[in-house]
Amino acid sequence: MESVVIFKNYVGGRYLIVLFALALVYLLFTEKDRHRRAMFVYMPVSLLLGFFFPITRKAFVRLMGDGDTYYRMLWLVPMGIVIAYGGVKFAGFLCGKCGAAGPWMKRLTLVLLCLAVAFGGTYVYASQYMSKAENPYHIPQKVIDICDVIAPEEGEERIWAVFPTDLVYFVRQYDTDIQLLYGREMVEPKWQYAEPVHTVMNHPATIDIEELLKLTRERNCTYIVLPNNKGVSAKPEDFGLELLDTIEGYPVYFDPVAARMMHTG
Amino acid sequence: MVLLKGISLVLWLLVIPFCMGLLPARWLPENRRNAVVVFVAGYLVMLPLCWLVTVPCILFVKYYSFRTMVVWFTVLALLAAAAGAGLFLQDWKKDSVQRSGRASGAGRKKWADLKPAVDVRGMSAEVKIEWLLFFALVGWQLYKAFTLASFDGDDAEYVAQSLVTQQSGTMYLIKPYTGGTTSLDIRHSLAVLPVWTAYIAKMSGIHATILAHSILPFLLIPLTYMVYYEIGKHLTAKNREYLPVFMVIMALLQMFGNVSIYTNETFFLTRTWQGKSVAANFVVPATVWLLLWIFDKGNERETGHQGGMWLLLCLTNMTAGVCTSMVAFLNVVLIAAVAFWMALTERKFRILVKAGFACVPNLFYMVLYLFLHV
Repeated sequence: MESVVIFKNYVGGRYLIVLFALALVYLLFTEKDRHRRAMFVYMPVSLLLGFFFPITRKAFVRLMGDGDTYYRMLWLVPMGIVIAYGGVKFAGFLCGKCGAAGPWMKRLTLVLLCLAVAFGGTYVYASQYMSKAENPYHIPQKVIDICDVIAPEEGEERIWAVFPTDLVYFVRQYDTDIQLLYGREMVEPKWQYAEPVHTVMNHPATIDIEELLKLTRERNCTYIVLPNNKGVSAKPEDFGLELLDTIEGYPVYFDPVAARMMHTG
Repeated sequence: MVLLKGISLVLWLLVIPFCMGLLPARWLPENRRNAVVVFVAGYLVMLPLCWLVTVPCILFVKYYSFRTMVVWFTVLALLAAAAGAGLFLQDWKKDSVQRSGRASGAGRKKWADLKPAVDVRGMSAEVKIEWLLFFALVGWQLYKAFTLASFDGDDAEYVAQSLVTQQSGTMYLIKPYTGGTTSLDIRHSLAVLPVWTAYIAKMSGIHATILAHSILPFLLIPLTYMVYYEIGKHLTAKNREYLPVFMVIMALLQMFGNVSIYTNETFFLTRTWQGKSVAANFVVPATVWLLLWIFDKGNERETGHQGGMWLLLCLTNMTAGVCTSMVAFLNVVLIAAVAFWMALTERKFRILVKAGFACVPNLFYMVLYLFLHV
């Protein structure tokens, strides 16, 4: 049953899979070339049957140590090629069968097929994960601006920093001289890591500054970027932090106490 | 400076792979060769060569392994490209001499006769419009790849890994997520595509993140369509006027295939630069293409070598390992499924044996993977 759920999630409840099924059935009955039948009918069907066969999934999990990626088996099924090949073959068949009207039937079929693809699928550029690129790095400009404030100069030591959860993905795609106390592996809920600094930073409403600094100073972390949408338990300046800048609402602090502790060992 | 970077990119992303592709093209049947095939074959040589240099450096070079990799890969890549170009020129000269010696000018065709990939002569207006539509769709995809940013958490590993490699000179010894040091990251270290990205970044002097997000799509998207073009060309050999429509449908399927976050089409246009996407959208279609070439000969008369197609299949299997360990395994499943049906169709058991030999690189890869994990 798990394979069925994975398949449903993969095809996303859209109609492209119906087009694939239609193309497959059409090729099954009309493809005379036995090699092409093997390639575009028998092979995809046997891979799909294998996908749904429970032992295949068990073997996959055993080999890969991970069942979450089982859907990648479906990458092997050449769905797009089968749809396109079935479509042009069907158009060719109509063209030959309809006499003088054949070319127009062919054109009409292909236009309808293109429309079916467009309406049966989902436009990738309308995805919620797409946004206008703010720079050639394709990472948020605010991350670049913050990193430029705290990054070490050429020849200086790398620094440790803490960033809010929504920014940690991007920091080290811009500058690897900035090291993070927690990274993406700690903030993804599905991986269920418990990292103490992240636990403090990830509090839904208020960040406990005293607790945060206790943890960051133990680990020589000299820069702290606080979220732009949460409160703090106390003024960070009262604990010796220096506000360097506020970028798009994110306060960027330098911790001279941690810097001193680091240099005095 | 910008000009130098541009020249360097053209050299390392276009010229050198193309010259490398001339090597396996020597062993392809004459009617299969064209500039597109050579370019695709170039990447099927370049990426495995990168793996063969990188993995020993990761395993045996203790300090600054990337710097060692850069030296060795540069030497070997230049040698391979020079060999490909040199042999091509040599054959081209011989061919010219042979042709000039014949009154008709119709000399024996040699491998050096690279036909243009698309011949516009004799095309009807309708076919030309269909081709224009296809190129417009690809152009739109490239425009969107440049002007839109797609968020994907895996970039925190893939792209940061390339940048760490470029900036630190080490490979897989620094955690991409945080920057902390680690013992060798075996799980990812056999899939060396991030190192290849770092290499191109290093050679061109471009930040690895800019390269991955803003430049590589201009290579990887057309590369995939080149494979689909060859598949389409083969499938529409008897009705070539259907080829542009086939390509238009393929392009539309990529744009509207985002039915879930899991499909290869979604990966193609939202994570173009990641190994998983290259595996799903270059390696798997290339495998289908080569299997089609090998088994579906139709009525075409094959002249010249056949072994080149099996060689390319082997190289494709190696390329799978460059992209991701999982597809190095899955590609065997694909080849096995096709070989099984072809063996039944042709009633020839030796097809399974040949397919098995083509998968030897995958077997080696898996044994190495397990050995390093134990």
